[in-house]
Amino acid sequence: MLAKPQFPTMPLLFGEASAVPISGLIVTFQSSVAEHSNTIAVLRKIPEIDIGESAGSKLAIVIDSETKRRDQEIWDTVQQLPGVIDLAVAMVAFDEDHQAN
Amino acid sequence: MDSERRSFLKSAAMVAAGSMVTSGTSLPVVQADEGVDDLPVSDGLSWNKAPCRFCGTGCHVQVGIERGRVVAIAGDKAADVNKGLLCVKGYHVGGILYGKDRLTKPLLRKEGKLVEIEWDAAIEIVAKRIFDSPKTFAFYGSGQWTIPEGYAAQKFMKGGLGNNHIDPNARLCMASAVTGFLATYGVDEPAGCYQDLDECDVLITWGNNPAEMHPVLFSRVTDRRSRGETVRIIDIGTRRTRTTDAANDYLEMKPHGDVAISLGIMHLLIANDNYDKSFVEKHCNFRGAEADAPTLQGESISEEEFRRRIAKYTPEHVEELSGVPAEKIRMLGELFGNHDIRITSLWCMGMNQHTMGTAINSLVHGVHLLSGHFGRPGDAPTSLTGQPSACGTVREVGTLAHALPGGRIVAKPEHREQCEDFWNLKPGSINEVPGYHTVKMFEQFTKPTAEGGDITTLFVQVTNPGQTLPNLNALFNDKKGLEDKFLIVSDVYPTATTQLADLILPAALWVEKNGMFGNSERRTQQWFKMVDPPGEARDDCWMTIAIAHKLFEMGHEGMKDKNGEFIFAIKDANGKEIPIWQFEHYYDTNVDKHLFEEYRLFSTMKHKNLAPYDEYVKARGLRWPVVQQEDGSWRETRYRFSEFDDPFVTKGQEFEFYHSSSNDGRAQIWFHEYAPPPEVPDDDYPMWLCTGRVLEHWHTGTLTRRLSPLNRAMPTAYVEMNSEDAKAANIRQGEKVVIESRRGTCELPVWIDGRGRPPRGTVFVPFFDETKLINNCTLEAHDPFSKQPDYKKCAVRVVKKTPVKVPS
Repeated sequence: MLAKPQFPTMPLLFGEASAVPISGLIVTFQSSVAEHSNTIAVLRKIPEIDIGESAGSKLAIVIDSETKRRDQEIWDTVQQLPGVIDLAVAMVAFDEDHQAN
Repeated sequence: MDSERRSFLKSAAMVAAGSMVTSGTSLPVVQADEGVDDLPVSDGLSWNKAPCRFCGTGCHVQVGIERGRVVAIAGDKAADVNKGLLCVKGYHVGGILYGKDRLTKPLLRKEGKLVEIEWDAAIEIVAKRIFDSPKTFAFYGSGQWTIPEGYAAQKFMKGGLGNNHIDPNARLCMASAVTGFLATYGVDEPAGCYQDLDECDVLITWGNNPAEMHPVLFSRVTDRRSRGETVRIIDIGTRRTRTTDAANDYLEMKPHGDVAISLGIMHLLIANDNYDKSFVEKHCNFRGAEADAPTLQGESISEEEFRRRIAKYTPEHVEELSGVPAEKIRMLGELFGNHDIRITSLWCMGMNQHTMGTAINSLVHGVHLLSGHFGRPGDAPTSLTGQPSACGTVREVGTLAHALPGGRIVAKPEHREQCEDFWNLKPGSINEVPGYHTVKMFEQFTKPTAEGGDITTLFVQVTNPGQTLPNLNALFNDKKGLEDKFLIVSDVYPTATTQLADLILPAALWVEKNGMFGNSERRTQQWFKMVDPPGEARDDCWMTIAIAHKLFEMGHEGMKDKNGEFIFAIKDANGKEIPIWQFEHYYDTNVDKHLFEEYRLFSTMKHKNLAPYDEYVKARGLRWPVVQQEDGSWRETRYRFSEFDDPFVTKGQEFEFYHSSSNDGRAQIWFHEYAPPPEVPDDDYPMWLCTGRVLEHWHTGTLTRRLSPLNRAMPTAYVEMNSEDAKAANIRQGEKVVIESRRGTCELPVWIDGRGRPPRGTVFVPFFDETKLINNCTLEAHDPFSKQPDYKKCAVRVVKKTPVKVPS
């Protein structure tokens, strides 16, 4: 499971970007999606996530977030949910201001 | 983004993800003609294929373009490598073009300050430096050069200037894999392919962390597990990683322990008499290093002698050397002795950045050969690469200081003659003496001319040696007495290397130019330019050709072929030369295609046959050898040396190593004696330092550090410490410490028991952060054959920044 370093005063070396990404992702669970109802319930409570089709251990979701920061937060949250072993990208679309400095 | 368009893209994203999920219970089977029908095409959005710009996996993406900008990225479902999936770096690959500090004008350092100049002036400055002293010029590139870029640089240097001082950063990355393949099979690059990951019963990662460094490949294995298949993962490493988290077994070894472990497995195969006698008898020889002056070819030894030498590597002795318990060595011996299972070994920098790099590569190949776990899908020794075209541009085009295209070397007269013939050059144009390898090249550049530093002008393209060289204080950092030296750097962003550059050339990046890459499984990939580069940024290949033409105009004889024509001349249908050295005419023709078709001529000698350029336009890459069939189609090869798939194996042979160094169709099973690392911890420097990469950043971070989500996720380098070591030194989480070696220092925050968990006595530092240069501390000691330095082990101490307050 990914964990991020927790440093109290970690400087941001580059500026904030305000892109508004939309991403289609594939969540892979350790076993059949049906066996992970608690995790699915957590996903449903995240307002930026739409849940799509599932088959076997895979579930399609779309994240539509207001900022890239929020997008990354959701990505990290999903990746660390119980039973999730992989999060892969199928498509990402971003707005014109997709840039940092 | 208006709501209608947003809704449209959201639907498209759901369709893309949904189709990946519902296409079957496993990752989708790829059809060669599969299109991108479910990707949105309205609103002027169009899609085209490209390989990802980052690692050597070679995932294909579909790039969405709108009004001249990249606005979307999708995994390419028609790509066999990634089957429509991408990792977190692939997710962000489109953003690498749009950092706000892109270099857009040539910059010349005058009286310490960088000032903008015109391209014509920049090209003239470079050409004049070379014209005035062609022998003291060196060209340093990378596995990020596209194949045509590397080929042009190679031809310019070795054919045009008769100068072999060209080397890539891949020397720091996978040179030991090359020498390992050459020593074992007589020819470079893996025999198997990624399908091995779909078929193996056991996956052994040797000092390798694919869960973070090659996540899409690793997901092929974890995906099988999620479908109920049993795949045993055995992680052999010097610290716990995300790969360890997924492993069934973790074997923690001491640095250089891999050498002992591989010897121990071979010892057990012999002692237990369960090696593959039939395979060895028919297809292998035994080999050892010469006692006096070891060479890459070594000397033939008998099986009896091999048995005698390996006898001492008992599990107990291996435990002493490696730290891995004897019963675990026996477990590995039993696995390799089991012919009913299939075993794939994976490795990357852990075995390559090693002063015994050639030896350990050869030994792991030997384990697979001796046990017969070779040549069937799932039975493979496989090295991975870290850069997108380390294989295609460095190993195949041969941009190494000793090499020529297609597996040739400068030291062989017949190889030089063949190249001179292909290039239509005068006999004797190519120098027979290998040029400087990377470490030597920078030693000679940073040594004053008066003291013998005979490289005076250095041109760096597509890499960042100011951050990646070992022992930076010796090999790169600012020094006195180098006023006559001149550093030229082509890059897309300011880097640690541009900080010392005399001339900076702004480069086009990825889909801002045509390109071709070659990935880790021998797959050659092609893409077209899709958007314009910003400002005056231009293609690296154009820079090389423009400099060559300026030299041609100045009368440099090497820039003319035997007929007196420019060595890069391209003519139109009427026989008129197209002035591709003028950037406004560079895209009047497809220069990549011309260069690739010329390069193809070189590819057959070592049976690395390539198809015509247009075949790669249609495909998501093709694995060489690519051979034309009777019906005119082109067939790629998944498994080399195996009769069932390799068209060059003699019928009835089952296996044939047709470039065998012993000229008998056999591979070599090597014996190498274990030797300790070149520097080990002592009283003054009591800790091991290992360096490496992280999931979020790619290599020196030049691209990924400009992507705010990735940079936010991993904003700074750090030093991983074991909690017991930290406690003993009274070091707290997040506290800044100084890592000190005999060569330099680096200040870093401490991360205790973080993502990677080093054992006591070991620290780990990633090298992606240009503000914290851990390569000030690393060691330039290198493998004697590959010349690849060891970044994975040297001695350091960890010093608290502020003295500990001792309670009175």
